[in-house]
Amino acid sequence: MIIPILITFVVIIVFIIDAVKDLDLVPPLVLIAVIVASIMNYTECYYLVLALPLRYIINTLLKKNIVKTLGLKQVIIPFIQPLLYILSGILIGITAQKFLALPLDPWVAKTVFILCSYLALSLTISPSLLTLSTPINLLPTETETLSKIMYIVAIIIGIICTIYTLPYTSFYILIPLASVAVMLFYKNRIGFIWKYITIILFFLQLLVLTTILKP
Amino acid sequence: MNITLNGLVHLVTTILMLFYSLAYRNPFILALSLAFMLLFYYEYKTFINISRCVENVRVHRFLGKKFVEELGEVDQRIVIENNCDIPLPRVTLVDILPKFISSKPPKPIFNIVVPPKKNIEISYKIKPLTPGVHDIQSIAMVFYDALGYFSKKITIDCRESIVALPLSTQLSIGLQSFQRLMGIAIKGKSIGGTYDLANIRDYTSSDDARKILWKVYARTGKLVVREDYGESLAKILVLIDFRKHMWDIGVPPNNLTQIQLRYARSLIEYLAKNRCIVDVALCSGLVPKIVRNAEKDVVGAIYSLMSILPIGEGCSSPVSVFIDSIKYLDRSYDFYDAVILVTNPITIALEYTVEDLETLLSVFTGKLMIAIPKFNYNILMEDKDLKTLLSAVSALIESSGLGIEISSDNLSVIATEGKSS
Repeated sequence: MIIPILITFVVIIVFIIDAVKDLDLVPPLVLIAVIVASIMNYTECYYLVLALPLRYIINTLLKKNIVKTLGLKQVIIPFIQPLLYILSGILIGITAQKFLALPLDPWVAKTVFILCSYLALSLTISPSLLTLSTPINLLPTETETLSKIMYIVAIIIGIICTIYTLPYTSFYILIPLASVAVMLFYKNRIGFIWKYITIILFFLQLLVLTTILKP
Repeated sequence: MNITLNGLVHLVTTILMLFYSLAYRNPFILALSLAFMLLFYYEYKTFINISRCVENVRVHRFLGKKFVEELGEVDQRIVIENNCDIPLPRVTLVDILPKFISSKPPKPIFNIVVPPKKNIEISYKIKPLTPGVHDIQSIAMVFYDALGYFSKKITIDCRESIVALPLSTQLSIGLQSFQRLMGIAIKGKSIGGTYDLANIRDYTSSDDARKILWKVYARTGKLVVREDYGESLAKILVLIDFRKHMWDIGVPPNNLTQIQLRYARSLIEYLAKNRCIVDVALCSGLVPKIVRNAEKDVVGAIYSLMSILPIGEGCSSPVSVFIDSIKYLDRSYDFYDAVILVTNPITIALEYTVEDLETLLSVFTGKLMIAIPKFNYNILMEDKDLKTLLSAVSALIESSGLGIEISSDNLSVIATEGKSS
């Protein structure tokens, strides 16, 4: 137990020095920590990988000149989406630990849940329609027809899932529903947050799941 | 597009986490590894957009002054124009400065964020360390994604030039020999006649007897002389010989090039102040560059000469090439009262031949003088060799010229203060 604490302590110290001095010491140190964690089976050391993206964000925010000249908003905007992905990752991880689906083995259920969550989340990275349509070209059906069918199927699956989860989610289901309503009716008033609304909704729903699922 | 160390470590740790989570069936680490994979993909997609945007980035450089004295500071502004719809979350800008330009901060490297459709301005000071024309040519820019996983380096042409003039000082020295030989000063030793009265002072030995005011002597018993501006203005041609090797002798701000150019400027200013007609020829490259009537605007004349003096280069012709400058100046050989060749012992030893000097002497018979600035020549030549060389050159010049003038003025500057010492 001492070694993981020692490694964490060293990484935190170097992280602080690196954030202030911009020395690029954190990446090699984190790599060493992860290799040690893999060999010695220290799961705790894996959390240190969060230092990689956070170091860059903190380093930029500490540049007073940039923040003063451009304003905090302009500096933060490029980091919003990466930060939401990191938070979603943590939430999906926490939720997955509690997730169970009766007909499936617990590990398989958790893996399926994690994969589905990430497939959904990956759609927020503006995917190229051309890339998406490549496998569809192999099918005899036209792309437009297929997309309409898939859209209807997605709505039906959504309704079924909502009904299926209703006994567990009870009144918490109102939170994502309310957020969807806000998104639809107050689209123009939200401003620049509109760009991130999909991922924020995803994030909120995960938060709901994390709260209501019991271990 | 390159992957940075940060990006590489991110990728490797993600793969390790994935294997670990599958091996130990850890859902949290699995979720974290997939989040990191997603993050990596997101950064890649963002960076592709940034790479496309790079072509629409414009950089402009503006200098506060077009010319400045060496070691003087100039304000520089660099404007970065982002014409894209996406922000450039992290850009490292490196101004590639020429060898003899320093900057404040010492390393001109700036990390900036450029919002979409906006301009960012960076201001800092640069300092030319040597006289001459300094061409600032390009700026290197490294573009990163928000988390610095990918990078792309480009070099943008952003040309500007600044002309640095050599510093000057008041020569207090042994220009006595010039005064004696050319009658350029107003010490009563001028060529004769009474023109514009400049001053009345006590008689000293060697004053022209015709200048004594006998009426004053009769009245007071005191010998006084009147000082007049010379009856004719002395006409002087200053030849500045300038060689490539001089850049590497000594350390800026006091290398041989700088000392010699400071001396040349001080000499021109001295001559102009003493109402001489001064033409200047500076050899850089194959042919000498010339300025007529430098006395009318000394700074303008020095600027004209320095603006064609490339840093690190020098004259590549024999010293006799200066003879051609008379043609370019549209003067005759007889026009000048004296010809002053500003050079140094190291150049004499390395570049001059006896034939070259004899050719110069045959053209400027009785008028040629070699002027040498004060410098620590011992770093390349032993004292004994230096004396031997100078006595040999002196004998040659004095045979049919005016001789050698070695300056005793200290022309070096203190680097930290940038002031003439």
